[in-house]
Amino acid sequence: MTSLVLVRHARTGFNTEGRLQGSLDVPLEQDGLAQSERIAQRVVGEYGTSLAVATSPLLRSSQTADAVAVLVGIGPAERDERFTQRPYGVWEGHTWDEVRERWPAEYAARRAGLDPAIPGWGQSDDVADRVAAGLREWAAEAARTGVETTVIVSHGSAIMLGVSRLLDLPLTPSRLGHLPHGAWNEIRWNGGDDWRLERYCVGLPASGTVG
Amino acid sequence: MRHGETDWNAAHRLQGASDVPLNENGRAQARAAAPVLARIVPVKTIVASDLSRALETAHIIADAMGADVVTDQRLRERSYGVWEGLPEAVLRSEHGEEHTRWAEGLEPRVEGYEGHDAVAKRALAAVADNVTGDGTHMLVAHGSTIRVLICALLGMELASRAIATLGNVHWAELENATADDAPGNWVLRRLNAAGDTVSA
Repeated sequence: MTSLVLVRHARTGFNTEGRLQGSLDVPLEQDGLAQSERIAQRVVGEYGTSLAVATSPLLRSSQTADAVAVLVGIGPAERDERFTQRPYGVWEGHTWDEVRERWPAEYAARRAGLDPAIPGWGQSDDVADRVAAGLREWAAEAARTGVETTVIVSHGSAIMLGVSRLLDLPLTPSRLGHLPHGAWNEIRWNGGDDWRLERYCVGLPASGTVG
Repeated sequence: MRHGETDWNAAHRLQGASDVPLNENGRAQARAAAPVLARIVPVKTIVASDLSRALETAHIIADAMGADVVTDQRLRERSYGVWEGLPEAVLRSEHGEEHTRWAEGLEPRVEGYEGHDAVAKRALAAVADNVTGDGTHMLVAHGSTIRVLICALLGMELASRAIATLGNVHWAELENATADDAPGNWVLRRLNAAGDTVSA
């Protein structure tokens, strides 16, 4: 039995502007780096210091994960491509307002939780399979080596899709809600296909964001 | 939200339909969570199971937010029949095969045990009658009933063990943003949140 704690990365300037990132590698700035320190404090306060730490290779995630890994004295966190974000194709770099104006039908599909038909969009099924494969392998490795808690920092869509796949939940639309920056989920693996969602979207102050 | 701790919770005894009161720790758990809830979900009415452990938890929280409490017995805990009152260790040692079925999410063959379908049906009816109109509604109920209800609202197999049971005075938040209140249209926004993980 081992637990995975899946944390959404700290906020970037693109996040603040409501601009879609997807596979774009947008780094944390001063404000996001400070937020990543607070996220790390919260995670370690909850789960202690005996942690394995993995991350999406994208900077906004790896910078957040490194804050955790450094705090527990093992940094840097291990990069794993399978935890990278869903590509948003031609929408990357645009704001949601721009998307709504230029691609109204596809925007409506996305609002309904479906995969929009735009070039380069990462299909939910593909992203779910990729992330779930990474989660399964990290859980198996943790169980083999006796690690009780593995912290994995990744992205909103990637986390929701990977967890949905492990729990056998539908993907389009998602049955799991939006994850604010710094919120986390905990899933426990009891061997085989026995995954259990222990907590979803916790770790935040009542304001809903980690400052 | 699941009720606060009872002496039977602390002793790992199955309660089911048995009416076991909160213990002092359970009351303290509810008092500690009350100001957080008063800030983030200031409802006017809390709907509670009429079993005292849920009802008293609801009253402690309602007092902090100036809310009323109404009861709905369809939110009661699943009946465990002849298993009620037995410590989990006894279930494991003396009812091993049925306990294993139960732990895997299957229905144990136990006299008086209330099946998943029956629990889901009455809990969904309680939601349909009490959760009406826009805004946030708060229900106080029991571990197994809430777990089955969450599975039903998300359109999952009721026998699934993929959703954990809530801790005492922990809560789940579900949202239906569609016009259709049918089960399966709900989204899980939080699971096992507590006053100290949604802190000031």
